[in-house]
Amino acid sequence: MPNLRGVQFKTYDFSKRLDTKVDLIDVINNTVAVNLRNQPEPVRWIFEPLLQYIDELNYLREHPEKVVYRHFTFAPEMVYAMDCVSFVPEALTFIMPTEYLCALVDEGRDMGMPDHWCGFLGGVLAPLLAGRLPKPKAILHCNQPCDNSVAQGTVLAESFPGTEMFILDNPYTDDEEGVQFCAEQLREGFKYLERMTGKKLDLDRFRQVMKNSARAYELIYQINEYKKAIPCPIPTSVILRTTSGAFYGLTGTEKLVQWLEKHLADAKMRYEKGIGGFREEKLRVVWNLSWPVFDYAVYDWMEQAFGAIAVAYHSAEPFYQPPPDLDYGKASFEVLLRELALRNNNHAMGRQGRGHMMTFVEDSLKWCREFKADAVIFAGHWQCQANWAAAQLTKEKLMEELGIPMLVMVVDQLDPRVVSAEQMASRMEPFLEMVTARKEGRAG
Amino acid sequence: MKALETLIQYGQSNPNAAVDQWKAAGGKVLGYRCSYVPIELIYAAGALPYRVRGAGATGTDRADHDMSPVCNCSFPRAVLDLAHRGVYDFLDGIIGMNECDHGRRAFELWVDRLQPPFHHFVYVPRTRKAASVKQYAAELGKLKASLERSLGVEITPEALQQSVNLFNENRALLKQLQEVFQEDRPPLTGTQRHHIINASVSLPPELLNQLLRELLAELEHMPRPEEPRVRVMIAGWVGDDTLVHQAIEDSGGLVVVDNCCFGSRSFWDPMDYDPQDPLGSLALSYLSRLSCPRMFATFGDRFAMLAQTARDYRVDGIVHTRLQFCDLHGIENVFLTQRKQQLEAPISATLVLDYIGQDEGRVRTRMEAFIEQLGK
Ligand code: SF4
Ligand code: SF4
Repeated sequence: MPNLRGVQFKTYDFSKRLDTKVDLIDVINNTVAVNLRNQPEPVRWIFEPLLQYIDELNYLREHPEKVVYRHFTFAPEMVYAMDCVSFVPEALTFIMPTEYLCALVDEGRDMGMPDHWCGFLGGVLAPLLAGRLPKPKAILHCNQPCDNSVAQGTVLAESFPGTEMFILDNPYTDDEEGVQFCAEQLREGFKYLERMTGKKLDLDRFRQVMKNSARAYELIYQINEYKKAIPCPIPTSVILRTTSGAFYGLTGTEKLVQWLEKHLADAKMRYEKGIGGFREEKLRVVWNLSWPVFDYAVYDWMEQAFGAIAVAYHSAEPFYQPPPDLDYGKASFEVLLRELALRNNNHAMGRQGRGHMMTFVEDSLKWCREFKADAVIFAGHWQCQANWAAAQLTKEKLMEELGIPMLVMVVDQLDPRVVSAEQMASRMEPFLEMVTARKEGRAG
Repeated sequence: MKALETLIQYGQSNPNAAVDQWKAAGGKVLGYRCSYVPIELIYAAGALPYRVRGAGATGTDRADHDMSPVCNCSFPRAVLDLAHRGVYDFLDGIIGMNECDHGRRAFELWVDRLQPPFHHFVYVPRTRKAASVKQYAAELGKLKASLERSLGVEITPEALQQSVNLFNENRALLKQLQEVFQEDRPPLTGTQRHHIINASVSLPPELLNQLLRELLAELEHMPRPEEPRVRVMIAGWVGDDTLVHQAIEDSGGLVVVDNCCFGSRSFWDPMDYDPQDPLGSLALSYLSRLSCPRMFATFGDRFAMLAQTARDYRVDGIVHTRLQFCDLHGIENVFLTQRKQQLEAPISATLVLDYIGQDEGRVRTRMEAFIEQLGK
């Protein structure tokens, strides 16, 4: 058993299966949202984007004419540009309480969904096919990052047989041809949305959305620059889920920009005062691939037991790169289209999943180099098959080029019945002991 | 030797004597794994397209160094393992694509770890919209240029036309062979047919056409079994393995048709070719033919084919199979269950397979029980 050092992992009661044939948005309103809204202000602000997203879900109930289904790696700016609101079915699984999610996964399996199908998407399979989710005006889907998402396209087609879908074929390469191919399809995507929603694209609105989006990317870049400091000025576990979720769902909105400005100000203040997270930083870890949505106390344990701070999250965070430099106020439709293509191609998870495995490897190296990592933990969601096949090569390159060790461990991002938080700690403990000894010059 | 025996022998060997002869005569052989790789272009460049498979693999430990048995499909792992063991050293190169996550990564790892003399990746879109067809045509242009450069040839429109004709003749003859199973008591078994299909993806097309013509002539005089058997269709994915066919046929069934990739889907539709737009027409044809679940939201087409074919072949039951960890085929189980009332024949619960280390007893028990149920 790992030494828990006083950190409490969540406990669950799976003895009874929860009733899933309920309104899932109500479940979220009555559980997660209440909990977040009741947090004291110094904590509550951290969760603002999540609450913003929940507000959008509620808004859509009143405005069915604005419901555009969107895959989580399809850049949301396009939907906001059309004055519609995204409904990302898989975001529900991300937000909702774990016991509900597990019950929904089981319901999907009862319907024949394979066990190895990603719970993130699989959690909404049953509600989709049973017609328990809002009816879409339009559906935007794409083929990144994985086969699960391609198969999810069929789930949508079977769930809404009368609704034409727009599917973006994400390119394999990151070159200009890949960008142009994406842009050309997005042009058609706008026509599709105009046809399906009866709205006309307003170029000024598109400009404003892209400007907000660019500002969000600029702010996260600046925040990341602060995160490079030793000690890392940002407490990791709490803010992670929000930042990541925000970039999957809200880029293009003014509210996200306002929140990131607060986040940046906080990072700056902490940096200037030389404050780290809650605990003394001894090891800097880059977390690779999937974090345990069901229990972020895993990070508390790492910090408490080893002073191991997860300073970056490869593949969950937006790709670390300098922000775009454009005058959005005057940008033409063509220029905006190209920018939107780049947003799609570089979308977190999509970027690493859709292309050659070296993208995953090189991005891992880049995060480690920039953020002065001592170690990498590859927590491989067992359903992310493409990334799993890049793990060994990543491990070898990290050691060869940077001398950084990587732990490879199996997790299920959402379902603690597969690997619990405690099991994760058991796997990480000897690895972090080894890294500590290495850093202290005791071994390795 | 009769054509039937020859074809079965070719189908059972990986590689085979015809490939050895081709190589001995100085010919080049290029490997590919997925049926969305346009073999017509490879052959028009003078090389023999050879569909790599896992036949002969006894384990996957070499491949598992990189790919994970926790979640990666055993079929590409078996192929990669054979490559590591030198079985595919006869290949002059390998052509990969984004068939599925597992196949795509297996190709990338093959290239990275084994550095074959030639390799090329073809990006194949998953939709049939105009921009995607155009992009696929551009990809074919890149493949063409890459083949021309590496083989030192020019692929003329005439050579391509000739190649398309040859492979379309393969497809037409295989379809003719398929139609033999319309008979109540066909002279061939489904297992034999499956071996022939395996041979068809690993032989020079002229030789295949000649053997298929001879076989069709032989069949006219071959004895028919005395009793009709329980007629079964296989749906989903069985690969090149014949265990499921054997298990069905050893239990008193007969596999009369399938809708599999190593199966009917490989020959069902001919490729359309327009000399005015060689690559564009080929691209459209590949993306529009009877699809695989790698193509977006195409279950409806496949289901229509399944229902119609089951009717045309008067099948008594449908066996649904897939490989472990295949998301693309795996999800179809949900929709098949939902729509099974629309089928005229009963469909089995999904039989989940492993390409390597198959639990043969389980497969046989399942098939025996299913056939018994149908026979009642
Ligand atoms: S099943 Fe589909 S993706 Fe897999 S090899 Fe066949 S055609 Fe390619
Ligand atoms: S069976 Fe499925 S997962 Fe395996 S190689 Fe074919 S398409 Fe890929």
